[in-house]
Amino acid sequence: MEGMKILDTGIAGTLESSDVMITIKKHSGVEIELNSIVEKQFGRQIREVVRQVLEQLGVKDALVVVQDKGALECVLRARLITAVYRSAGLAEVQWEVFA
Amino acid sequence: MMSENRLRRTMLYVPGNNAGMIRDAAIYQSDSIMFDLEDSVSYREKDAARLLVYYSLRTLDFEGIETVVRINGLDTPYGREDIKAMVKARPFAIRLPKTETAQDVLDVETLIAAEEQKNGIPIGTTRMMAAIESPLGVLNAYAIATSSKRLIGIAIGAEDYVTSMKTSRSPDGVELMFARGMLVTAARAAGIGAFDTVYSDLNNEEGLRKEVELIKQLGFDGKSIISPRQIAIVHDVFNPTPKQIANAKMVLQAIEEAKAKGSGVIALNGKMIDKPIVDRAMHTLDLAIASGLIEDARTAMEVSNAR
Amino acid sequence: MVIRLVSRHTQETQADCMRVLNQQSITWERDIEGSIVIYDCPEGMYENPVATGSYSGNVIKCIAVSKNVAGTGLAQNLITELVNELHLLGRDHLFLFTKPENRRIFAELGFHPIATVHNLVTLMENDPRGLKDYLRSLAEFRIGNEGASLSSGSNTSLPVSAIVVNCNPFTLGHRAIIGQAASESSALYVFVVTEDSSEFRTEDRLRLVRLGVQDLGNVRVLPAGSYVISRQTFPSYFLKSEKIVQESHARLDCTIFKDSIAPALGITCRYIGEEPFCPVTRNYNEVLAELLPLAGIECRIIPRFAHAGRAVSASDVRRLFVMGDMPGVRALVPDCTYDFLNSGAADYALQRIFGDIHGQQAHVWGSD
Repeated sequence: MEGMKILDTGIAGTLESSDVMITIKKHSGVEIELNSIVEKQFGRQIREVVRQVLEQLGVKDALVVVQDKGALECVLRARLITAVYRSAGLAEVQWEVFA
Repeated sequence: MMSENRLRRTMLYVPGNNAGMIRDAAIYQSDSIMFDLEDSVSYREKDAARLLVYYSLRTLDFEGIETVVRINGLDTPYGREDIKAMVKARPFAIRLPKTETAQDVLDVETLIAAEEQKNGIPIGTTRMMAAIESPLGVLNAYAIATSSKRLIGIAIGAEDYVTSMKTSRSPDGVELMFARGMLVTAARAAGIGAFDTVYSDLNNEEGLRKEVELIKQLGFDGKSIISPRQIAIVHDVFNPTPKQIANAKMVLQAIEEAKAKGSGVIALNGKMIDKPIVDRAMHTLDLAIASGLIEDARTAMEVSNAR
Repeated sequence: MVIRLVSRHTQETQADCMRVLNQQSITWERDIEGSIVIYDCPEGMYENPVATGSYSGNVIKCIAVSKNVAGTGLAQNLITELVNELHLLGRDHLFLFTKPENRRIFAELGFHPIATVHNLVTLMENDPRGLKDYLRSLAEFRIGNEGASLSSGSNTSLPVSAIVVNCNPFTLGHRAIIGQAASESSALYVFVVTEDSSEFRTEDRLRLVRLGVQDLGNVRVLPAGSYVISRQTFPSYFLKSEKIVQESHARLDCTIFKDSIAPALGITCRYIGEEPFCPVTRNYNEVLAELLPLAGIECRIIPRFAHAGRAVSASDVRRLFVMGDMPGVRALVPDCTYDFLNSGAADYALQRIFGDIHGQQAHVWGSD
């Protein structure tokens, strides 16, 4: 898949417990700002998932702010992909890309 | 295993954009979980809910509880995307809202089949449910119920229906009598399940119990529920009485005996038992096992053998 | 719970908000544009408000959750809804005012503290790099970084100074104060308020100051941005507020200056223009004079520059300009400002000034 470009600031998710709010914006290179209630235990894992999803979507330039409220990995993936698509201004998800 | 014959007394609505509720959906042990992409999700969050339900279904363990997704109608900008995603996510069934004609079901079925083919999923894997929420849908109930082999049941959605009927919901539900009767009759004629609408007053347990008693007596299989706290009451009403269980066990024994004798005739207390009585006894035992009223594995096995 | 988005208040919606705010002794602020209100009632109605949060520009404030439902996570709902709503309005860098004791709640909702005034107020922002990036951008202006271009007259025994001006528009009075401060300092940073609530546009005000001081080698002119006398750090400067709110905002602005901005540029002295008229500015000046010395920053008050026996003020310039008295304007402003006002390019400001003269603006800039 062709890489997706971060255009506008994209937001997805909520601040409710078990969820995560993702803000993604233009940047040069990929950087992650993580703020999590489980940062000590899962910080590395969360960053890893974020990098992996961005790679999968071909996003090369983005600042991702992750405000985590104890989200499961599947929730993190869903929210991040939503934020990327919103930021890229694309309505239709290419479902083929996702396992 | 999920099958069309399993119990569906309670189908718990879970708003499709609520991560916490999705995570906890299985712990309440409703018979089915229905993830909602439609009315509980604002149009701004349709994309988010679709992805959230998709990844949750792909990843989470719902402990064998049957999963259903209510999608948006094809007359909205979201319906087609919902189908694309949900066929891949593999819930047990996809539920259509606001079904009015058999063609509505067929249109969705065509799209589902195309997605199954595209994703290498055996055609027919994705089952369907149709919610009937309008006067036209009620009048077409039988045509809808027989429109697709994928259908496991039809459900009534009362809110839109009563509004279209220029009335409103009342405690005794007289305004829904015709629709409920029509729907359950159509479902039985088609040999599929019949599911009742939600009861929205969370604090009125007595009202809920009365309504469940009513729809059980009408012949419904179960009810959509909007909160885990409604599960116990619905299951309680659907639970068979000790006398019914004892009776059903005797029927089961009679079947065993007939089998042992190699006889095709099942007799109990000197009287011949015909098929409806056998079926009802089996259903009673299913309910009793599901609700933990019969715990021994032996009975469960016998029930499954007797089938 | 019913969540309601109010993008335009009616008496009734405002009363709902105030019912919740009053319980926490928080006052309603008149610049509020919209709010989220959460009601504890069945769907389809709006009864029994239990939580509310409001916004003005990109600032979230007047947040309150009723005591009997506190701890049920309503703050999460409020902030989620506000962030989404403001995103749709194109506002993503958000600031938030709260009581210091509630800092932790909002820290867990993605807001990072900028500054706190003890017992009064905490200002936070949702961009974890907001203040950091701003301070980094200031460092690029830092005199001494470019070495060779430094004026030869710079004397390191003199302080590194700062002054904050609005310059609406740039007058001989401003020029005189800046000139005096520059002569008494090794380096002078002139922060031009960038809040676009003045009659002259920010870009014009900034450009005129830069033109007007380009002969002063040890002066740098900087846009003040979001962290110096802005609608974010000092909202009550731009509207009528209760004294206690003004006081806490003044202290907040001063705290950001002494704790973050001054260290970033090595500032050891702040110049303040004397304020005979405007009570808000006078109070702000008093706060600066009280707090800055405690942080080792000297405070120097300069009297207004007078012309023909009268203190030069930007409001006089605006009045003369709108009346078309260009010779009168000429006597009060440097050439760069005169040329601009006389070129026709500034005519957009006429209508705004006219409105102001008729009392439309809540507050007249004291330090011009």
